[in-house]
Amino acid sequence: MKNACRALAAVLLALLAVQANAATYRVDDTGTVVGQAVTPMRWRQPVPGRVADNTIEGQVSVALRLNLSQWVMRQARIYMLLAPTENERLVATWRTQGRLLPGSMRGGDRVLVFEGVVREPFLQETILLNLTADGRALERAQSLQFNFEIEMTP
Amino acid sequence: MRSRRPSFEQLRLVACLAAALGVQVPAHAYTVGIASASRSLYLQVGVGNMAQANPNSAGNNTTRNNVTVTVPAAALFTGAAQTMQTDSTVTVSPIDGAAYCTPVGKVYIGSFFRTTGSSNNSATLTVSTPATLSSGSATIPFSSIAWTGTGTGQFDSEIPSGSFSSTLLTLVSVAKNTWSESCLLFTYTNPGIMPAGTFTGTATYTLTAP
Repeated sequence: MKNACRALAAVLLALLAVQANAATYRVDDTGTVVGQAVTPMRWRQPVPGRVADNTIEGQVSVALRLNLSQWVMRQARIYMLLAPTENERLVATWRTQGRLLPGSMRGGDRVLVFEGVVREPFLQETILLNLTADGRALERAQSLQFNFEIEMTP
Repeated sequence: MRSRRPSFEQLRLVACLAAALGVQVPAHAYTVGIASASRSLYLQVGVGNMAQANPNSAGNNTTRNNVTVTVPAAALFTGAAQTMQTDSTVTVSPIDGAAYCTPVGKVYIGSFFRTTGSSNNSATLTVSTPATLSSGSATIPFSSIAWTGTGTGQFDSEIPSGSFSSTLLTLVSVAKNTWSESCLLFTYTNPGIMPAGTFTGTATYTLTAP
């Protein structure tokens, strides 16, 4: 049995080695705090005009806390991902305080927010998310799932 | 009978597997909840409350604008339609301030239905009147009052020309997320012999959204 366990461990280590070569990991962002549980979306143009603008928008701040303790002093790229959304015209744009890159994304996108050497075990940054969507296509409340991936660079 | 209890070796294998898999740290994902935008419905007949394109300034305006005509003696029994005047002074569109219902004397009617969703919902504008205008016990039919749509410039009236009746009239379907505008010029059709008097009646406009 001891041999079997060693063999299994070897297989798993080999799998981990393959993963290490791919060198992409989900980042634990436990401790991240979203400013409000539900962000109310508002019409950019509350009264319809002669030119149709059916955009709705909302803003929320997010205090990020990324656990990078496994990759301290390693060269890395960090990406923010947004799971596919029901409203395909939903766009998330964010501003940062400088530790992460600002950017913009749609559902299903993966956008670079950091490139460099990880200096600290926890990266803390507050971002201001600006969400826009076509109001005609957002009939009910939705949950937008954001997460982070880290990629080791050689 | 063979026992189904796992052996120590089997348990050790499971423990070994769990320990090996334990290096996979479950990652959290943060969630942003969003709520759809609010719905709103607005109707203005004659003078309204809303400042230009500012729904926060909108409110219930209790003013009832009047549309009147005095039939001159020379026109009695002639059947010649008489143009009516109004005390409504709205001549510009609340959308953008563009000149729309000019010159004074016509009644501005504007409405919109702001809503989310992809279905083709629309609001419905109706008007209801009693069967008659009254002056004491004397009456004349409300259907003796007609209107024509007279939007100015590039913006035509969406309410088609017509006349009141004793039933609920559907005037126009207001497509969602658009502004419907009309500028109506009222006329008294001056039909035949009518009793003398000052006849009054109220027309009530209603915008209904699904």
